[in-house]
Amino acid sequence: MKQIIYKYWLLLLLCCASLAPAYGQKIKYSRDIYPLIQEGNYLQAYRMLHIYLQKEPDAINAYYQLARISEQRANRFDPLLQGHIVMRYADSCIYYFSEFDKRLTEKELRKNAEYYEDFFDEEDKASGKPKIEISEVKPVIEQKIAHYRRLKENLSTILRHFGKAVEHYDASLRLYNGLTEQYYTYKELLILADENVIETLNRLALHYDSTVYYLDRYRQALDQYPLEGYNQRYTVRPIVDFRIDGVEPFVDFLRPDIQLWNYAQWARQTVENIQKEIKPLKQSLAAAFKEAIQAADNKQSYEIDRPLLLKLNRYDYNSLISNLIEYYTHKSAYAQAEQIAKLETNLDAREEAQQFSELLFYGGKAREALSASLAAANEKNFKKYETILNSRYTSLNTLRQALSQEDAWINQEVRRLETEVKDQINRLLESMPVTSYENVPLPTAPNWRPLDEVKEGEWVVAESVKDGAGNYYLCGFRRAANDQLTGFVAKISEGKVVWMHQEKESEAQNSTAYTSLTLTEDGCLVTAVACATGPYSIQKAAIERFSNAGKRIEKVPLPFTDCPRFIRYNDVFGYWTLLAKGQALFDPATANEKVLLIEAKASNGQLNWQQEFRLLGNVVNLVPVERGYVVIGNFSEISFPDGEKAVSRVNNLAHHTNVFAVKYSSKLGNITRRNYYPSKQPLAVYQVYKASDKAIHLLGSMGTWKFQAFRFNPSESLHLIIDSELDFYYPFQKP
Amino acid sequence: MNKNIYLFLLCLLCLPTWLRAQKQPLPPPINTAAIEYAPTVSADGRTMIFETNRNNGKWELYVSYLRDGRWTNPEPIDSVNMYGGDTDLIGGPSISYDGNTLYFFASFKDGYGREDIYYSRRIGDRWSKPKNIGPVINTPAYEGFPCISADGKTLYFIRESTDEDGDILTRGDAICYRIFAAEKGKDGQWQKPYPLPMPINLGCEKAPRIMSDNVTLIFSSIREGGIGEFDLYLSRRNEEGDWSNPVLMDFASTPERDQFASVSASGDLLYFVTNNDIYTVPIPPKFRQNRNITIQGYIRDGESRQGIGAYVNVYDAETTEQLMRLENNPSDGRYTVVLSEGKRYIIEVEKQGYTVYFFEFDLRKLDKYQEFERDIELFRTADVHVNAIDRLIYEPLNAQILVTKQEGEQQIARQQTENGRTTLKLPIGASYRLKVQADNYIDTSFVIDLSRKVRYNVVEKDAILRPETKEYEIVVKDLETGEGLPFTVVLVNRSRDEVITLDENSSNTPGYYKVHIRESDEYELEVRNPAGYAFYSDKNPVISAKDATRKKVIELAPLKIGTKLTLNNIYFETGSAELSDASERELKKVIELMRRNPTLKIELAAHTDDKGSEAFNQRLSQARAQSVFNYLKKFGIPEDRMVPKGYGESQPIVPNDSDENRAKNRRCELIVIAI
Repeated sequence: MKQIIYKYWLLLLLCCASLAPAYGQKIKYSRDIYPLIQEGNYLQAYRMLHIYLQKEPDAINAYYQLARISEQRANRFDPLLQGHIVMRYADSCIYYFSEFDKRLTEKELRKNAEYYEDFFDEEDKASGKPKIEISEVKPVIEQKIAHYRRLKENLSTILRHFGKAVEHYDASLRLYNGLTEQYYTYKELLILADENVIETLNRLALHYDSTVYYLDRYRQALDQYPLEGYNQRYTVRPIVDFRIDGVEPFVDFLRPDIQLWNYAQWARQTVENIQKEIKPLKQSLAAAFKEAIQAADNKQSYEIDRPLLLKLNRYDYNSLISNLIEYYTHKSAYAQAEQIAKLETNLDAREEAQQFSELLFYGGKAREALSASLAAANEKNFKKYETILNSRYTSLNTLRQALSQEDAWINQEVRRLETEVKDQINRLLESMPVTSYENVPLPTAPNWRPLDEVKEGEWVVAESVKDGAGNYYLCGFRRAANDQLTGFVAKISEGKVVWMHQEKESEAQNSTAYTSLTLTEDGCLVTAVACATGPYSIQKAAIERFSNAGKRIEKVPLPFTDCPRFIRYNDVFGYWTLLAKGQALFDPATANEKVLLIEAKASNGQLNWQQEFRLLGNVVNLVPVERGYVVIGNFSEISFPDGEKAVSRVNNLAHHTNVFAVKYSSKLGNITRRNYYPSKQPLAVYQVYKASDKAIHLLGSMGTWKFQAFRFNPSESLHLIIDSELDFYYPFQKP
Repeated sequence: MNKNIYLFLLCLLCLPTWLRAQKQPLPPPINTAAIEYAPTVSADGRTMIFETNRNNGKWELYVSYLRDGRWTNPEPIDSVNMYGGDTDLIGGPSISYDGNTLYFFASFKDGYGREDIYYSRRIGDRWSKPKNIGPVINTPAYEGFPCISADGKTLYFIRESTDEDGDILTRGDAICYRIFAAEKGKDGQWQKPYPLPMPINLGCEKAPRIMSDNVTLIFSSIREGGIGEFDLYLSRRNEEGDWSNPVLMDFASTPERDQFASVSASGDLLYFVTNNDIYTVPIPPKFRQNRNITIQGYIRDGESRQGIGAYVNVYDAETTEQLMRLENNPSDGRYTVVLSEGKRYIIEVEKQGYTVYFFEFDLRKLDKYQEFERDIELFRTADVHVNAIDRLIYEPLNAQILVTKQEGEQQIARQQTENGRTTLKLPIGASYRLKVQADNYIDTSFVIDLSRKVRYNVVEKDAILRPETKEYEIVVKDLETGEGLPFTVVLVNRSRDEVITLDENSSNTPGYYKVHIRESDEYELEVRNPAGYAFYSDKNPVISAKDATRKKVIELAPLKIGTKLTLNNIYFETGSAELSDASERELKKVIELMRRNPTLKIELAAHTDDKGSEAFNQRLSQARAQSVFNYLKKFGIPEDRMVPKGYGESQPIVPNDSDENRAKNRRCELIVIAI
């Protein structure tokens, strides 16, 4: 039994012995440690020296060697990148050199001179028996201690400032990068900015300021205590373009030229923009929004603050809030117009059409604004104006629901208007009577058509105008047996011809026609052409003035032989305006032809201005509007002297047209507006009726129009309405 | 006695056996009757390449994939295996942590001596032909068993250990080696290798494998304290670059030769070779490498969606020191990055001529291994949306944009805006000057600098154009005294949505305004709510920069009994008393006047010229005055404040001797009769 126990313990002992650490053996300095130093195995030597000192705390050379190794390691690492290691070894240097200094004696130097090779001079090396004086060693050690103290002190300052600079700039970068990820454009940032964003911007500025502060301190510290390899300077660049400038993963603070983005300047400017521009703007918008809604709710009139909405365009073009304000404004105007319509009865067809046009105008505008609002009602846009919208809509869903309800209402209104508008126009057009003259029917409505369709003896009314007293003034021509045309001007009252003036050329090869008529205060002005019978090419053109009694007072020749198509009288200024096109009577455009527009003083025919454009198409009417004229027609191609051109969407063939409208100002003749009604389907207008400046009705057809034949192949009717700003607001669905 | 000894020995044996029980050989088809050697696993642990002589005794490299928890049938890497001759030795594979490079050694004839280190690049699912790593590392002697660090900067490998006479050292029948390391310089080239110091190299080491944390080294060694022949040891390098005392990985060591440890980035499973087979064993916590994460994905061209070759740079976010610069695989764009705990990293993906992409990972408090999949798109061009905007009203403009390169001034694009906007596709890598021109506007130009790091491939720039303007003077004064009146003047542009408001803040002198109006446009002028004065009524309240004298003088009559204001914009249909709709604006002004001055009483006087009979003209003028009266009444003005009166032709203001004069005589007036 004992033997068994003994064997167990022996086994265990052997096991333990095999696991016993080697350091149980006594370390000899000269045998185990110094050779390591001599062969350069400093890591092992360092470890062994520490162990040795635990046993031999007064081993003077051990301290010295530890100090040397610490010194070596302190110099090995990068002072900026591994500054904490350098500092640690600097501390060690100070400690070990100090301990060495405390313990050093002459005796030690005598006894262990071989361990102090650093202090050997040439003689010591040559003799092999070194002799070192304590007076040689102490000053060096003291210097080293001082050096490492200085190093520690200065390096800690340098590191602290450098570290802080990097830290703050890194924080700036992250904040700015975060903003660029969150906001697609600078304008978006401004308009969406809330208190959190302002706080972020303020922090961004502070971090940047701190970066500069610490960088400057770092530079000062470096000036006092230079570090080899480090002499960074920094330059600052402004942020001009959001998301292009200032977006970087990091900035290398180790390179000689550090390039910083001036986040503080940008952030502060942004905060200022928000505080001084956006906030007041939103406050004004809130007030405008409230007023518009109140006006709509109470059916009162409200005038949009256009400058305010224009200011908003700067940050958010065609915004949700501006569309909402537009919607409620037009809704209130619509409501008012409806109220007036209910009150006013006993109106004639024209007055009815005018009144109805108001409803169409405001209804159309409201619908347009509402559609735009619905399209813009999304999370981002709601957030932009949340504080404003919250006064009425607690959430985006609430807004959408409300707008859907408005949409249902406006669609209902619009459907009603759409149903009624055709009836209105038809009633208006049908109100023009047919009268008789020499027992031949003479329509008061224009019945113009291509010359080759006009039969012998037929009266063709080129233009017809009704005055305020209900009298009709007509002009046109009549065809004789030999194709010769005789021009006429007439006044019809209560279905009877009051007077008629007829003009016939004496020679059969010449024809006369009156092409256009406009009323003046005391009569009318008509345009007259003398043309060659057959080709009907214009030989002479003139303006003739007739009195109310039918007497021709004046005949003023025109200085061109283009066919005068429309003459209009502006009683505000006493001007007449004339549009002329083509070299033959009612010449269809077979080529890209010049359209001429002139304005002159009615009293003396003195020219005010002359304008022209080129058109492959036809002009349907020249409509006077407030302080100007609108030319309306069909185009395949149209081009202007200022370089603007337009081609119809279906311009694969000349007779596939769309509709154009161009507005000229009177007195100066500037083009103030241009607009086109684009459609992939060919369409053409053949009649224009102005109800008011808000409603100019364009009637026509969808289908192809043959230029030469002036013939439509219509498929369905077309009815457009524009206002004097040439906005095609009806039909309400855009093509 | 025997029973007790056995019991004791059993206890001693039990401990390592208990641990040994977790070592598992990989099942077929990985391990076979042949020798399987030197496994290497990718960072995600799903690809293993190893060396085997299963093909008629020829040493070759095989690859297998972990799918659904099983290793697939190993396939030979033919591009490597068939590179040399039948008798060439190929072995010691080590796949880089990004999975794109395979290092191995071979005795190909085109080497520098015996066995050299080669590498092969991944092309899709295949590997390229081997390339020799070069004479800085390879010598006429033996180089073998390479292993690359996760940051791609250090290559560990072995050379034979020799004595002073150059004889190869052995321990028993095992050849001894020394572990060397070579580092890449700043120029990306390998520098001269150096042997790892004690306590790594003690005389008989081999099979170094650096773990994905770049600081944990597992190697095989025959040294005091070991269990078998070659045992597995682990040492870690501290931040000062010193290696810790190697620790015996006793959980894996056997009495046999334990070699070729390989650990995936997750760090939990050790693959190693013992007894000519590949084994796995879970790694106890104390032997695990530093925790890390793996980020993988594809780097693609954002437009073509094809994989592209790019660089992945990893920086220490605190110091901005570049820690790694890795290349992804250009054949498919695949990249892998392994990051160790303890730092905050910025990862930047860049390729010349493309946008740059960067993101951050904060691993200072990483608690476990994670894998992240992140696909990255880089773009060759930036879509620069340019909005041409009117500076004053912020309306979109039709403008032309001319783009030239700043360097060389070569024009590269000319585009027209549509609805004020256009998109320019500009190549990354250059700086561009954009000149924006629009009719009646002053040109503007700016620089878009895409020559530096560009993060976003879609940016927006507003080109704000100032219209060409001319100065115009507007004077508002009292008709009688000539004194300037500080009333608000509003100019409404007839061509566009522009409203200019001039008020007391716009001028130092009351009633005297200088305003800049567009050269090309006309403006309608309005004087708003002039308190105590009649409103401004003008037949032609339009001003333009083309006017002969750019000055408009507006004289307002003070409201007092007898003040007479001609309503210049009241129109009637020809020969009738029906108001034309063009009169609406003027009538609204009258309404406004009456509302603002609730005690004002007025006469609405209508006059005609001398055309027609006197009686007719009298009737007509009375009817016209009445029309105006009716309109105002409709809009809420009380009847008792208005007196409609027709004067016929009895009060001409000028002789009726011309059309112009007659037009002047045909007028409506507003006369104040009480206030």
